[in-house]
Amino acid sequence: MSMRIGMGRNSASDAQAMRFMAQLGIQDVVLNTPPVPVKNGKWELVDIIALKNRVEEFDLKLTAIENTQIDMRNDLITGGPKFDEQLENMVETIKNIGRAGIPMYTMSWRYPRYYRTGHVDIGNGAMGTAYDSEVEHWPDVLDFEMTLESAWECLETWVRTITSVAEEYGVRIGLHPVDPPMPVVAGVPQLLHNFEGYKRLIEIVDSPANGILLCQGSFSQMAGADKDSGPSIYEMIEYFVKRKKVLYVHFRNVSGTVPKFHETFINTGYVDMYKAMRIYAENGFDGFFMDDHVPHTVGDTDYGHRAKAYANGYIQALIETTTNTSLHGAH
Amino acid sequence: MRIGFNFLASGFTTPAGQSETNLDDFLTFAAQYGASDVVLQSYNTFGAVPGTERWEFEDLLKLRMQVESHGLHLEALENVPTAFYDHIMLGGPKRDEQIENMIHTVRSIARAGIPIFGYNWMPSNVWRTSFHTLNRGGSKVSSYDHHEHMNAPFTHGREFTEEEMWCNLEHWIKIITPIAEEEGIRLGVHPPDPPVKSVGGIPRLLTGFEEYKRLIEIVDSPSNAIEFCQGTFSEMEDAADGGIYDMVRYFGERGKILYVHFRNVSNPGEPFQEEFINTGHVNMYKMIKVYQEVGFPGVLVNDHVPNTIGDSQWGHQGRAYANGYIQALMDVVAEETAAEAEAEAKSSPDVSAAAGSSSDIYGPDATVSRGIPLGESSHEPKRSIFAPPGPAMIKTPNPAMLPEGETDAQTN
Repeated sequence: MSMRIGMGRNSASDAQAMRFMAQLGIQDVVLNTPPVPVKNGKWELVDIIALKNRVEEFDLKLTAIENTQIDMRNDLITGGPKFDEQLENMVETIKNIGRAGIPMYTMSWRYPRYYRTGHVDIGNGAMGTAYDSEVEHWPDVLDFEMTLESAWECLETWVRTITSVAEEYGVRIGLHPVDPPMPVVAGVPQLLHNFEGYKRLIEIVDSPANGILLCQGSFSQMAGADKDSGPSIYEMIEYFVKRKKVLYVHFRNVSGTVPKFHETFINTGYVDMYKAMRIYAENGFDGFFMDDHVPHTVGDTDYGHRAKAYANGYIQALIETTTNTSLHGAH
Repeated sequence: MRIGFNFLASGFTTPAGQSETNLDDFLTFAAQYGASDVVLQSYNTFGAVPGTERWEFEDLLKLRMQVESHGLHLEALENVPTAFYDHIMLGGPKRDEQIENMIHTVRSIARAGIPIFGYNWMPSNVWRTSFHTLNRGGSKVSSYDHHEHMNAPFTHGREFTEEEMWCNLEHWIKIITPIAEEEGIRLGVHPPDPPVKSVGGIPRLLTGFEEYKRLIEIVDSPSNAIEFCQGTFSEMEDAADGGIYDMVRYFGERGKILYVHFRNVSNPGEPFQEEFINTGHVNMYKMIKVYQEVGFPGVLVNDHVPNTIGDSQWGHQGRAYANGYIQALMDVVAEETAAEAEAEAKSSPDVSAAAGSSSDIYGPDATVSRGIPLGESSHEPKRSIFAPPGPAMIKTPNPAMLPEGETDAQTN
């Protein structure tokens, strides 16, 4: 059992960004929507292997692919006209991810990709992204009818189809919540916006390959996550970690829950991150933590090197203190 | 305990001769990254504080006001130019004149409202063998190997003896300590880095546990104390076999630690190299618990960090990393202390639940610090005290669509 430190990036092409991870001692790399060419609606094995080799050039390990391009899977989520075709192509893509030896594929089960309504100054000019349902005015995006029932039918078909394939190819699948975790976004009914939705998800098929990308930020934003009766963020973490459903964690913090919240520094949100970390450890979590959308600070790069380094240092210290071991074999 | 950053008051000059940044930029950085305090290092300053022999009250006051305009507290001033007091350290002909000027400078610092002055006893400064030793992933660190410097030419014309160097130090401490007491300022001496016996003909003097005991016994006063560069103490041979924890406990219990340079190195003794905060020989979690146990009320600052790719010369991203690590350690010990106090209060209801073993050696204000009080965690959003009241939503004209890479930092 071990808890590890990870970091995410959108592609492996920037050598400087990859070296930055190696220098910080990152043990698990996540590539989020990397620019793998989409050929006939899917990713080819040769392209995925090239991506993995690129990461390994820097003595890093590619543990997870997070998301493929959205137009490979939008109808899969909504039940649009290309549902069958996208399902077939995603099955092939996941087989190829498994063949390439990448042990995890995670994705956001949400469409459309509306996200935030603005920014908030969270102190001394540092900016965090913000959501407020009262100022949100996102237009409806679908030109066909979609109901909650039809949405669940899509997700269930996906999970029933992909889980056995994933098991066979040695890949674990984890789904990321909708962010903001609202029941309807731009006219589209959303499923993974609360505890109930996730409980239902993992019960569709009982398999280690049917799991969760626990974006702790998004879970913290869920209605009630800040209350004991919630269920609270801490109870949700415990519930899913106990059941071995959590592949890895987006370890970030927020000011509160929907309908109005903003992102914060890792240690200035409402969630007690040390308490959260102890819950992962006490329930036998065997995965990694990564920093996630950090605030933009004055003078930082667009990528957020300084802010990511800060969050990463914070996370490394929490892992080391909670487990009372060095991540890097020191002392 | 509080968090600080230490800066060169004059910023940095790039190889092209341009100023990399300025003090206001540094201070904005410190405030954003959760510091309550700063320590300004004016080591051989390039004019941030004018004066070739001594510093004036007005200039230092201006410096403090500049720091406070960012919502930060100027906890300490670190170093004056070596030329202000080299004759004091070496017993040179201008010793008495420099003592007069240093008294003036110390009074100026105190009257400007800066509570601590940290200095060192190194006429020939810090020595390193390389600043480009490769570390993890190609990061670069500084290193020292005494074999490379054993035959270094005399830096000050001849070989000085330990005895005369002690004599000079004692002379200074005996003169300055009562003045510092009178002015209400605390003075602390930084250890010689590297802490080898002698280099370039100059004995380094404060190279171990016994030497520091001797220093604080010259005059028993809160104003005769230590600028505790934990990095340099970790380089001492006395740091081996848990010695580093013993030294912190010993000097911490006596209230002698004014503030801490919280960094790590590869090993006690030399040769050594600097390390990331969590890859050196010192277990920083264990270490911070010692500071907490002895009731240390002061500031921890991150210090030199490995040079990582794409970083600024000063090391913004490396220091952000170190400070994130330190902040988490503080949050962890604060929560543990609060939990222990709660458990203790339950088992013995007569004891009014005090957080930790805060000692009175630091005076009545010890647990009423400006930053995060002992027993409170930073997840009570502390930055908001510097923010305008009530964060204002900025309405964006268009819906914020998620770009490719939906959960990575690019979404900002």
